[in-house]
Amino acid sequence: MGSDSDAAGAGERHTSPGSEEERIHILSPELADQIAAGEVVERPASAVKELVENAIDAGATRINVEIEEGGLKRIRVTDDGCGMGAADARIAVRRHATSKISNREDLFAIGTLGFRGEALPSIASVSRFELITKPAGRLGGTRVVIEGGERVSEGEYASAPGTSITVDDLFFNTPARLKFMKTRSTEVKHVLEAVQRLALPRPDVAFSVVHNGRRVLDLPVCDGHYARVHSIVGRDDSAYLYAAPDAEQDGVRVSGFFSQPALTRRTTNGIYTFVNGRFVRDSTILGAIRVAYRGLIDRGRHPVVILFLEVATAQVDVNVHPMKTEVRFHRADAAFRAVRRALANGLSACPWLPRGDADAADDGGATASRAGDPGPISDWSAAPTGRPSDATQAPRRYAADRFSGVPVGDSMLDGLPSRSYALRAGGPAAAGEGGLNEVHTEDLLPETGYFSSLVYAGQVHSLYLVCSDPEGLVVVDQHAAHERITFERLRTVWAERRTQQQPMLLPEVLHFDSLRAAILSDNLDFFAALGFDIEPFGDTDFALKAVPAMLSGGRYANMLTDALDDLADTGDSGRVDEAIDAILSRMACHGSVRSGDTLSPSEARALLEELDAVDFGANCPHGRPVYFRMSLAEMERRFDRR
Amino acid sequence: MKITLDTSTLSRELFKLQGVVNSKGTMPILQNALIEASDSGELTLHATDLDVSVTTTSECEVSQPGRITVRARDLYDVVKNLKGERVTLEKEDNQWMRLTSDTVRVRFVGMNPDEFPQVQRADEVQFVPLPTDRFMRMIDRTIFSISTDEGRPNLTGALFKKAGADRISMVSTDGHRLSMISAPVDAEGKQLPSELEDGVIIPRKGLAELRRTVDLTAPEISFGLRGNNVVVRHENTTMFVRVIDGNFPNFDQVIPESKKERMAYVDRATLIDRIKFVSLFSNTKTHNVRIELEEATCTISAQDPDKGECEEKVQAAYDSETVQAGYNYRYVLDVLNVIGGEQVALELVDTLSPTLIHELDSEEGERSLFIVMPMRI
Repeated sequence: MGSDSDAAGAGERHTSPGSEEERIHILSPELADQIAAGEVVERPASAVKELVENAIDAGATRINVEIEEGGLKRIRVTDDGCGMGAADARIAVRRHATSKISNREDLFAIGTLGFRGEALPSIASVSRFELITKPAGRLGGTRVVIEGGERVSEGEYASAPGTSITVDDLFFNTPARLKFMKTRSTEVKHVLEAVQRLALPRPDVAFSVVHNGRRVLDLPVCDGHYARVHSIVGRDDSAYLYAAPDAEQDGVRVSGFFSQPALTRRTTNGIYTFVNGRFVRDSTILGAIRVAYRGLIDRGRHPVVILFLEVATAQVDVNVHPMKTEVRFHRADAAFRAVRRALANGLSACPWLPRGDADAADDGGATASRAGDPGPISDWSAAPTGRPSDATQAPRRYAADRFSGVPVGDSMLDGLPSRSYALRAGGPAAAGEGGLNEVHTEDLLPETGYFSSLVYAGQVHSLYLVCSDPEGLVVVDQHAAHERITFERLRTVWAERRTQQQPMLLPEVLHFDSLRAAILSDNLDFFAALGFDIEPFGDTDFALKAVPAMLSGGRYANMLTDALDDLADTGDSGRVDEAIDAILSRMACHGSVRSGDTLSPSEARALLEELDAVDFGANCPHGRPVYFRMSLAEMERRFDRR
Repeated sequence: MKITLDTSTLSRELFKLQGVVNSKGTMPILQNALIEASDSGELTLHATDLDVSVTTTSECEVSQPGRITVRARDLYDVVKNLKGERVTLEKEDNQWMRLTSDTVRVRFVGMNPDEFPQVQRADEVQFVPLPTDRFMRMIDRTIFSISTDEGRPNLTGALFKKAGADRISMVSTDGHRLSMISAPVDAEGKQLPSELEDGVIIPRKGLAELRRTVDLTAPEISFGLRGNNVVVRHENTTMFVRVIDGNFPNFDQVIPESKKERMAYVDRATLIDRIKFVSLFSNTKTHNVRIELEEATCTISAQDPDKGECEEKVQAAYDSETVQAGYNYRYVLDVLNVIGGEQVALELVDTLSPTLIHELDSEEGERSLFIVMPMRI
């Protein structure tokens, strides 16, 4: 970028009369590397990321990262990968040198993490750099030393098989960059984050990070994704994680883990998404996650989600940005739908609700709180890495029970603009097809719902209903619970009556740019299903002839524009539903039992029974939790009985 | 500046400014009233929110002419609570203003009057008179159906337009319904302003302020145009309202042809009462009711899956074919509530065509018509 603007500036001056000097010249390779380093090596964590990626691509099974002073004094990445011969080692530190691609076709079918051939020379140009490498089975290794991009020495060197790269005094020759570094602890945090992102999709590789001689991260090789997720997310949070049912849409395969709505974070830090094993931050995927959790968690809160997307390498372009955290999908809508479906199916099953029969409560409910037991994440779906045999190895019955919510069929999800309307009431009929059915063993469905099976103990402070289940204590917020029930009922009614339309006396002419107009033309049916009657009216103009009666008086043009932008980004939009949900949830709030109302035992039981009739029983429409549960085990701990 | 005047006069005049002073906004000066006292014993008060400006004049005892500006809301709150009959306002150093009345002493922080936006003068405006009650009826019959959608600014005001020789009309629509009234105007031989040939769009705020402040006991108001402002003068008050830039939609084409034989005559008060009753069973968000006309009967019904259904029959003078349509009942009530006359005429065509509501027994020479688009239930 710097080079572009320099060249442009020089070009202008060059054309001015009387100037004969040659002002434009080719940058020296060292300077070019430093410029590239500006993009690739932003901070120590980015150098670590590049080096660890190389190690992974080299087939390492154990990767050690040592850093000193947040990585600014020293970074050393040691792996036991394939290593390099002397000739390779010498050329590897040159720009655009890579073993990972060799022709243009390869660029569009990238299976490795790195490919640009920029990492080593970029890092070497802004540090004192030492590369020691030896291929397995060779006698001697090679050592190459570079300082600020200038080769200082190279020669034979005795070493263990694999590669060890030491980066000392990062940014020593680019003081401007050095000034931007944060405190040491911030840099360490970034390094850890970078390594965790690389480690999540690779449970078959061991990672460790040592800072100033102290081990700060240790991830041994483990069996399957869950164990790795468990050790990275932490024991407390992973108790709230569940395996998402696999979903596939037009060549995009999704698997992974999602948090129950009770676990949220203030930032999107808990969202890890991987495309073909590469960590990415993609607005399509994030949008799909947001849509799936809509109405379940507070606005401004974010779930913890770890998702692995598998896409044919030709269907995704990773060569978008030097940092490679952005990707471009050829079919963004497919990615959106696959992610949304995986999460919506998982969430609608409410796996965190123990089910009514005693077995389920015993197995499922209690494991959630049993320390150290990775129980909540069940193996009921094929493991993300593809361990189909697990299902037979561990036929855990509770797993099926936990997910016994009636599955949401594909047909319903795709026919309607959001999963919101896939209420349980319409479930059994719609369960004919869809990716979830194979894991939902219908004959294991318990007869009574969880909340109906609770033993009601009483109401406290006219606010909470105290109940017990076979394995614990359950406290229900009466207002939140009733609000959820009312909300779901209103939503069903709205879904049935969405055809109530208020036509316009004077049709509103909507002007759109050609891009939005094209999207609108393609999606007239989508809007018609929501109750908007829109007709083409010239090239890029449309006549709005009727609106959903519930929204009449609103700002239709703004809402439609937002919805079109969503459609362009993700192939779907929940704007209209969000607007409807906002109205419904206000209505639900007013029409519900208040906090402070005294309930008779029969009223309380009726409320609990109704709670079983709605999906997503765990949060009120504003996102607040409806109930919490304390297991007997936890109570015993509190009374020091354990 | 130093003036003395009746407390009640000052209070009454300050009241007229309250609607346009801006309580929050980026320009603090707009929260102020500009107070000017002239040699000739005249007190002028101004306030503006840049779209609507109000100027009032009244007599007072001027000891020393001058100008000052203080927060209009604070001044009004003080003056309306004074017990003394006379009040004195006096300018002090640094833009402070002292108010004394009987035993009360108040000092207000003022601002430099030079910062106050330029006050518009109505000197050259050609005014056309209109009876006050007629002007009020025109506002009442149109203001409720002005759109609140800022995305369609041209609908956020009422069209004020010449309607044939010596007639003036006011029209409003929010896209779903339309209200229009035309009334004779006696220009006393003078021409109506030429801008009214195409009409100007008066924003809702201006109409609401006019309705709020116009002295109904005064027999006449007069209106005119100056630049892009409508100027309305009544008694000692002049209001400038900036008109909305934009074209009002061509509504003539959506007004269905009216046919006498299709009209159903219903008692207005009964209809209002019964629609309110039946609406207990309409959806609280869509406000749906159904109206069916058959021989001698108008049937009002509503249903909601949560509540049930309700039906009521009202006597109607009607002998045409049976027709029915669904409505947002609020749209219907809005019309029935503002019109006069014992009876109202409903003209339904079918569920897809606009429904006409005619005001009967209008005041001398006035004609109003209301169009409501049925809802598809």
